[in-house]
Amino acid sequence: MIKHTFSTSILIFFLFVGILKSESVTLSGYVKNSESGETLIGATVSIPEIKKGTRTNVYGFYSLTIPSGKYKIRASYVGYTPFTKDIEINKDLKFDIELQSKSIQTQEVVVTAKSKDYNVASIEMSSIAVSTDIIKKMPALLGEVDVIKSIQLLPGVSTVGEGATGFNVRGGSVSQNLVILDEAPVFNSSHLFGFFSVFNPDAVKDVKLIKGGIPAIYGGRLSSILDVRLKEGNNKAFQADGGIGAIFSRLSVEGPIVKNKGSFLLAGRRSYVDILSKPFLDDDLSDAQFYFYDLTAKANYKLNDDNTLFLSGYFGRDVFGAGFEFNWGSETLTARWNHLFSNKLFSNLTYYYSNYDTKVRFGEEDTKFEFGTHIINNSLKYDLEYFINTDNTLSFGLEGIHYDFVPGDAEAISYGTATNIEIDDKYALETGLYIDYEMNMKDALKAKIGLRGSAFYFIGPGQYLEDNLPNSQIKKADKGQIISKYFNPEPRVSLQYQLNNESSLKASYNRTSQYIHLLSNTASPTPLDQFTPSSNILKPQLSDQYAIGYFKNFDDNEWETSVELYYKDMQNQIDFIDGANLQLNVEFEKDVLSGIGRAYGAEFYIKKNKGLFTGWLSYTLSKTERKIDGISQNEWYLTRFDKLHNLSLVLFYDLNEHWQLSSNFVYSSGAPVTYPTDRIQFQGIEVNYNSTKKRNEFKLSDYHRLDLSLSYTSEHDPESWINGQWVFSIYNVYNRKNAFSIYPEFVDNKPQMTRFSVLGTIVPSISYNFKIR
Amino acid sequence: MKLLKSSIYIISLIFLFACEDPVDVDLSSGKAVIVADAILTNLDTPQKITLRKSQPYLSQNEYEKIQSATITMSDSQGNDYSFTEKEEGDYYLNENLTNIQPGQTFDLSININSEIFTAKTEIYRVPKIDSITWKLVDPLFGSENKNKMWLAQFWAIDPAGVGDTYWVRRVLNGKVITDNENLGVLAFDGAPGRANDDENLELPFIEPIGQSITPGYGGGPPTADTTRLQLGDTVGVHLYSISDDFADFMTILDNEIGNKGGLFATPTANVPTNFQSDSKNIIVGWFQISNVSEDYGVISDQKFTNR
Repeated sequence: MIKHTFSTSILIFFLFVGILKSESVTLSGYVKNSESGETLIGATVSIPEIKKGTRTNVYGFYSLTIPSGKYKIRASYVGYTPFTKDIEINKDLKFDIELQSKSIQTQEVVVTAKSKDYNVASIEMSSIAVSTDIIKKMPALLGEVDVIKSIQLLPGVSTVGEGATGFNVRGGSVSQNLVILDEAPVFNSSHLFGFFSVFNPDAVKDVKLIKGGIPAIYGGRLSSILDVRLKEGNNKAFQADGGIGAIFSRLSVEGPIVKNKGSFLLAGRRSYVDILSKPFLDDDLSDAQFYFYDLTAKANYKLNDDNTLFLSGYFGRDVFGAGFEFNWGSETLTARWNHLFSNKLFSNLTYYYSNYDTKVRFGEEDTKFEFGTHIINNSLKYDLEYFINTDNTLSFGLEGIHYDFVPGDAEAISYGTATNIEIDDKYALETGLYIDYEMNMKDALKAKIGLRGSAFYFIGPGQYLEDNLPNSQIKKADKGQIISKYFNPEPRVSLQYQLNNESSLKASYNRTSQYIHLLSNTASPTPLDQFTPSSNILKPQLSDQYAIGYFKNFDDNEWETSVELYYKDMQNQIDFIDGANLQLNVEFEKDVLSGIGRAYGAEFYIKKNKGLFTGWLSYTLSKTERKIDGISQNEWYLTRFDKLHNLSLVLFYDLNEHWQLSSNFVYSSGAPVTYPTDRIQFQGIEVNYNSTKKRNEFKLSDYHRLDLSLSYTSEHDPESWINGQWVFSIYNVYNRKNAFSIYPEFVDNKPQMTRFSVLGTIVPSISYNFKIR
Repeated sequence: MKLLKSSIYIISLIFLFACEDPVDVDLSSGKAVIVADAILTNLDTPQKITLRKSQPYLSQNEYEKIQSATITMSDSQGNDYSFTEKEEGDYYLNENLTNIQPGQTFDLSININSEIFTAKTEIYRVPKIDSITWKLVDPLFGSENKNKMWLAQFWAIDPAGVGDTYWVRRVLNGKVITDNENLGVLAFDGAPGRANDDENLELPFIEPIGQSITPGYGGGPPTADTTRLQLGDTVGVHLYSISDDFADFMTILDNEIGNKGGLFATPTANVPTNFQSDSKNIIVGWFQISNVSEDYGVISDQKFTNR
């Protein structure tokens, strides 16, 4: 089957190579920011006379095949001054375009990235790009700008609650999102359990969330893709950006390696609450450790017009300790080679490494317990984009991922006697092969048809459980032995029908598969939760998603609106038996239950792009359920992250050229929870008892919150080496105690229900950001 | 999970943004269930089984006692045992279990209004307690009282072979201390978790388990200043041999008591039971007969061990 798909793609490829031998010429090149040389993702390059155009890919490359002739070429990108030039093309031409950022000239607020009518004109649906400019303008907890918290304000995205790690997309769990940083997966995107995300906003160039109509290039997760691309660094001049905040400070430097040829970016952050609070802590807390840091780096070098190399990496850690040690962190490394085979055929070869590990220690020296886990990925990926002509684009490629899961290396030392509690590593191989073909069928109809074939091999050496019956035994697999294998074809189809210049209808279907499972039995995943491969017992997760949408813009794209409906069917969703033991347990699969899931909803989105007032309103009506034998009387139950209503209002208001006001308001239905309804007494112990025997039958009270932020940007002085910005923000303005959970307890020998609010108070903060040139 | 709680505790000390307050919640409760608390031992003390009913969580009444039940028991050696309801809902064993042997099994039958509930248990081995020691140490992390405190520890050797499971209960001044803050700790071959199955050694109970007879040690939030050991206190241990199933029961019970919401709360679970019945009435609880080793020491600054 794999072979078949591959030969089909080769065939299609050569078919189009034939088409290319016509009288047309190709204009190709990169679109960049004139000031920094940074390439622009999704910029439009068009020839208005013949109504043909294209957009730059994720590396800023475009290719436009047109009949030879004399044209006025136009390039545009929101937030930049459009570029136009008359050129005569008789033969293929390489033409790089530099666009000037408007923010240098004016303080105009720009809410959207990409081109103005992108949401209507593009075949993409269920996906949103958020520019870092916008993320930086939104009010944030303690003034710390946050990529993950920002996307939680978009339609279809929810969270279990404040301080929870990750995000939930269209009824998917946190572990069903593929979060990639320059293509390398990030297994835990949070610092401080979930209060902050690992992405340094100064290093991020582009953030794109794909909830549906997932292109075939992406695979491996069920629910969504969060594609985070790092800045390349200014290749014209050195600059530094930074900020001093309440929790951490950040600094980034970037500059040319060789002017106009190569550049680098180095960005670091460290929290310093531990240092600031030290004098105020009690003696026994003075040794307590609690901090996190991260370092993001990237370099690129253009060898010649056809070859560019990129190297990027992330390294971050959270450290806790006080008589114990508890730390976790991620490392990623991505090496890429962009190669142009021709001005129509763009290729990229990627190698990435990603590691997430945790370490735990109790006790010291001759009496201690140490425990560590890892998940390590090594991957090679080759992607090709063939810009056949303005109406046809073909993307195809392949990918191989090697997994090394280290479920637990533990050592207990008692009076100097060591006991090893070691669980074998688990190894797996995942491969993907894909083809995506986008075509303008008629003027009004566009289609994108894709197929991804994914395969997964759970391989030895290592232990595996022969079955999940109570008396099933552990077996040993030899090196290279295939314990189980899976193959899944994943069709992806998107259609767009342009009704007129300002409105379109879109539809999509996609199947996705996921071969790794997060063993998490808590309201919000903990840093200790581990991923485990699909095995002879755990089957790959599968999802089929259907979505339709209507997109309409008003007043020359000043207002964008959309309505999308989706329905999702999920298979092999896991949950856990009561009291499941998921750590350091060779037989953990005996504690895992598996079933089905479904999610459906309607998403409404209104956005204002221009003017003094800008911002958006997002409303989602949705339901997400699971049905798993052994849980909730084998009936459908709501997930902990189900939100019937979920509304966000994000507004920006320019008071004048220096002062800007922004606000977030969020409202969502209370999360479904399980309460004990009764209690029993056993050996003098009061024990909770749930007589309904159902999961998530109750709901917390509704969640709502208002945040405000006021920023002052000093006059832009081209002569000055430093430009600063003050940000005053208030989180939870009206001091609401939103419940994260409600739990039963005895207080003064009386039973009561107690509400726990993670951030149950108003949180004001001041931060200062600067730019040095 | 204790680790996560400690980390969250540190964060909450620093940020002070989290808060907890009582709220009204409508907990519509269902039909009351029967609760059988049937933990018996070989100790030469009165052995009883209590039968109660569950009650709505927020109710402040006494638990309803189940009266006039008939309880009988038999063992694998052909002996029959009987129980007498001496107080309402409390059924006392008329014989004793001081001579029980590992491998011996017992069948229990409870008859409530002609509905029969049955359960089985097996006797496991238990090692002798070698000694109890005590010493003055620095207070626990987070304690208000900065003075040194008494730390008591019991010593015992887990016999060779895998599969011994224990429940360690603290005894203070003649009273077994068991309540929501003091569940006792579980030990698997003398450690908090079962080691690799090729281990076949006699090993001492590890330190945290030995020290779990000191208040504030072996689980729970480490700030229990009020219950420090004092000079002259008689500190002791009851080491119960138990089945793995009962260990699971106690683990779920422990999770539920410690499951106080928050970011890392697990879904509420009901404790399992080893009672069986054809009745429509639901029964919860556990039947277990344990071999118990006991030992005691009086805390003194003249000597530091009870031997």
